[in-house]
Amino acid sequence: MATVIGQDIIIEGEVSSDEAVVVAGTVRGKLNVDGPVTVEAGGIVEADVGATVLSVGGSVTGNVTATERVDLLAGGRLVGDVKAARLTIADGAVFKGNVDMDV
Amino acid sequence: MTTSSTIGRGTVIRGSIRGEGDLEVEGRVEGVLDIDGDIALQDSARVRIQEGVLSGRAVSIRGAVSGSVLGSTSIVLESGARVVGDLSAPRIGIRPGGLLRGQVTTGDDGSSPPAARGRAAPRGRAPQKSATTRQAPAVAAPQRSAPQRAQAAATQRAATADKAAYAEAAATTAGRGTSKAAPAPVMPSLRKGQKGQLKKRGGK
Repeated sequence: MATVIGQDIIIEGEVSSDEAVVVAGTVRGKLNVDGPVTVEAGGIVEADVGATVLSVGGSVTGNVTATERVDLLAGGRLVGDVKAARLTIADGAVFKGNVDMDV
Repeated sequence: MTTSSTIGRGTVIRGSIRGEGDLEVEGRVEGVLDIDGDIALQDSARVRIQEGVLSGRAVSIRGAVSGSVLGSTSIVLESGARVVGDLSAPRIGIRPGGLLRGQVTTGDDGSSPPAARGRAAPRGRAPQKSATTRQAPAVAAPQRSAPQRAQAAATQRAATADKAAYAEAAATTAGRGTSKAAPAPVMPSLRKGQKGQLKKRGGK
């Protein structure tokens, strides 16, 4: 069973996991996941994020490192530097930061 | 509208979890857990409260908790629960196999924090409850376990006839280091005194 942080939950501190994490609420601090991370619309992450795959439909503020890919969805917002093997940015997404891909 | 949350088996959270909505914990939480919703700690859950109390509406525990627990409606310790800390809620249930080391406070004043110790004796069946639950840490405190077990036995009126046998059995099972430390003939007087003392001190 994956980890789900509901929309009215606020976590301040460090979240580490080796399974899928879905954020519909708020996470502040650190988010280190050896698995996919999904930030749903309405979800807020104010943390440095490490994940295999990061999917952003909500708001992420912090530096992102993904071993596989980062998908910034329409309506998503990402402020911070991204280091990932692959990055997609959907039309209508907001992004501010540097991108570092293995070129 | 609130959604429910899950802290999965492979997840560790160090810090605070606050907010609304139901929460299910299968992983580890270290820090603060304060939710306006039901909390279910599954058997794989490990929760260490480092500040305040674990606070929720209806709290169901199957895993391990270090820290006091406050339930605004109820607390239930299911089989497999291991709690070191106080319990405070209007309604508290401890199922067979649930282990507890701490004070139990039930009733209308259950909403007050467990930190409010040392007041007048809790009324109703609170002393009995705590006496029953005090069987749990018997292994951890062998030197005190025999009288406590005996007291728990005393609350079971049906078992009056074979009290001595029960106490002996308790001493054998609980007294790992001090096997048969409490000789049976000494038990009746010790039990009476202990019981009276416990009542005066309000189940402490």
